[in-house]
Amino acid sequence: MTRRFVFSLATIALGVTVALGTLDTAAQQRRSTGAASFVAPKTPWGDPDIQGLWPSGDWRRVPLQRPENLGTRSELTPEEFEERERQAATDSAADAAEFATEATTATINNSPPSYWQDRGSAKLQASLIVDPPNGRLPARVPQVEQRVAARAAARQGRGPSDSWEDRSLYERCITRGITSFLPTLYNNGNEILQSPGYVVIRHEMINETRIVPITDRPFSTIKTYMGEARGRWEGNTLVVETTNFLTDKAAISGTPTSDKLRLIERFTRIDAHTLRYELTVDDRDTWVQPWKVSFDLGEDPNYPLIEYACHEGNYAMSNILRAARVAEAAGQPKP
Amino acid sequence: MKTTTNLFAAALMAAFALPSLAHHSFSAEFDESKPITLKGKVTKMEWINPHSWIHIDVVGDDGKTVPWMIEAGTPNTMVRRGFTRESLQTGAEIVVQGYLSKDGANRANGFSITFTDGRRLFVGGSAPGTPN
Amino acid sequence: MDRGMRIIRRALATCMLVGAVAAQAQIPRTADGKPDISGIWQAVGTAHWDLQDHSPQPPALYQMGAVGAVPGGRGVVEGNTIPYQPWAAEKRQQNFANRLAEDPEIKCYMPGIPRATYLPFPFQIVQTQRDIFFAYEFANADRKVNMGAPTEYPYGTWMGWSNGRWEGDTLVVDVTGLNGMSWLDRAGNFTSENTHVVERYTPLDKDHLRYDVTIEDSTLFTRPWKISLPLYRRIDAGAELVEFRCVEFAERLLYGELEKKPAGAK
Repeated sequence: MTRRFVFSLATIALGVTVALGTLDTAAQQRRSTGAASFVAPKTPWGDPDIQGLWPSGDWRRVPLQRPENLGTRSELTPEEFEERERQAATDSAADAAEFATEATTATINNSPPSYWQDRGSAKLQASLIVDPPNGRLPARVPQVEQRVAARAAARQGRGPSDSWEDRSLYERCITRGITSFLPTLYNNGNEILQSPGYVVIRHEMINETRIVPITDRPFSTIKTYMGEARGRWEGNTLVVETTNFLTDKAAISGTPTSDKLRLIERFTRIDAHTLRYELTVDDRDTWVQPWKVSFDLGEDPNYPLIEYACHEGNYAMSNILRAARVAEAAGQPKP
Repeated sequence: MKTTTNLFAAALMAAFALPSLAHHSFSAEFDESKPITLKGKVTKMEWINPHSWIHIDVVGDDGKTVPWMIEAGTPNTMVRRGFTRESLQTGAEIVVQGYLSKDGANRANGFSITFTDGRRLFVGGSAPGTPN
Repeated sequence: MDRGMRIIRRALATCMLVGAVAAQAQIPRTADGKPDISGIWQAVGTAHWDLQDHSPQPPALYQMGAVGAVPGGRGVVEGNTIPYQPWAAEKRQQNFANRLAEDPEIKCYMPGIPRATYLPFPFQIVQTQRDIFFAYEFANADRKVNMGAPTEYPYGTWMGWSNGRWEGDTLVVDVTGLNGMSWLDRAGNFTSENTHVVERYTPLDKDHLRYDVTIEDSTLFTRPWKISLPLYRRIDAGAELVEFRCVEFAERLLYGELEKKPAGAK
């Protein structure tokens, strides 16, 4: 039986054409309320159907927090939007250049070549955070400083690479955590699958599978990195509440969180190919009030999830530790 | 680095609070004060995560062949663009600009990887000598 | 009496037939009439230790005592023989001798197919309208079985590339593109990047599947060979997969030599 080569260049060319065709103008991007005639599709067993491939890389150009000078303005002005578009066009041209030039070797990060990234398109939305109204993280409660101090004290006298434990959970290939929908450099693949009683949320990096039972069964007392989830339907919206996070190494946006951390996510298909994602982070022992992220994900059948076997190929960890030991042996300052 | 006098753009970049996660391991693994340019023939490419690795044989001025390992990007991105293991053939000659590994091994990252004619790896159309 | 015995025997046979039909009728089905095998499943037995007949064995670490010892068990291999080529049979012996250092399961590497199925951890099948997704508790491994037109993948992965179809009530999954770095059990039975696996999941009733696997690899074996074992539905109320991110449990093993030694230590 002959098989279709799933990633043929022809398929990719078509996908690029389709993707380019959906770059919206500023006017088109005004936060969609969905077409009036849209009827949310349902699964055969009657739940709203939110299945599909929903990569988030397109939102890379939108910062988590809004610049302070924008205040409570949630959208860019036409001039500000044009600046984002100009930057996007410059990056696109540099990435697409067939031959290396000085311009193309200028990279945002030093490894790998910049065209390896998901660049993201220009968006009108000023920040991923939409609440508080200034689009910025709320103030932290006093306990956080104690938590930060405690972690610093635990690291007293330790270098950045004395052990694998000194490196991040991401570098150790353990997890990128519960905020894996937020856009990152690359491998921003997300997929949602459904069967009766369950919704499965997959993140490509780093090979996460979140199984959300649709139930009001009480939470257990088992703590894990990705927490414990419970799902329910509110109209056409899937509401997922997750708690029971392992907190001793946990942090969101650089801030160590507490046992009270509870995430509420909402998933709504607002038109045939758009999924609205809303994430509320509620931890009153960390931030004085909950904060909320929201952005609309476009369906992209050309972004299937590919196995990200991180730990299995993690040369970097041994390279990093070895580099530190070599520096120590040579009497050099720690790398 | 691209420079901009546009204050807004600068403010936007400063406000980008999401960590660029690749940065952490870069400076712990490679030495930014030791740039290196290597030219060599591909002996194998490991299409693995979190980084793919291109193995090349570099012939020194003394005529001796030294194997090097070059860190490249996640294969997932390239696979989605239609590139495969066959897109970089054994024996193809490549030029790598990168930074030296901090542990003294023959290892570098590659922030610029091209064929000898300057054509960038895995960009656009097929490279010389590879089947389309 | 003789006639009575015949009547009784016939009655028994009819009962068994009716029972089998009833069991078939109990199999939950999706809207399009296919068996619905969604749910949490787990293998029982000792296939994960050794696919072939094996006697109980002492623990690899004496401190583990009876907890670390290997229970004996009957093999799941048809004919109890794995038809290795002579060089591969030697390699398997070496693997066994070096299993503490070499077994990828110990390192928390993804187990590949079919090993993921019979590890002593549950897995969950999520059967959507089209594709069928398998989530394995061990090491967060997973794979999606493409139930549409078969596709191919350009290079080897740990969990392979799965294309599936229904043959009657049996889910047949064709797995290619394995990277050859997984083992088949803790006894050193191994694979290569040429290993081709065909799985068959056949519901016996609503809580049991029969799992039959054909393994072929012309670089390792002299012919294809088969394993077969039952899979049991986890019927405990509230059964869930619980995260088993074992990377942390393997780090000292993998990187311990590269850790900074305390001052004064050798």
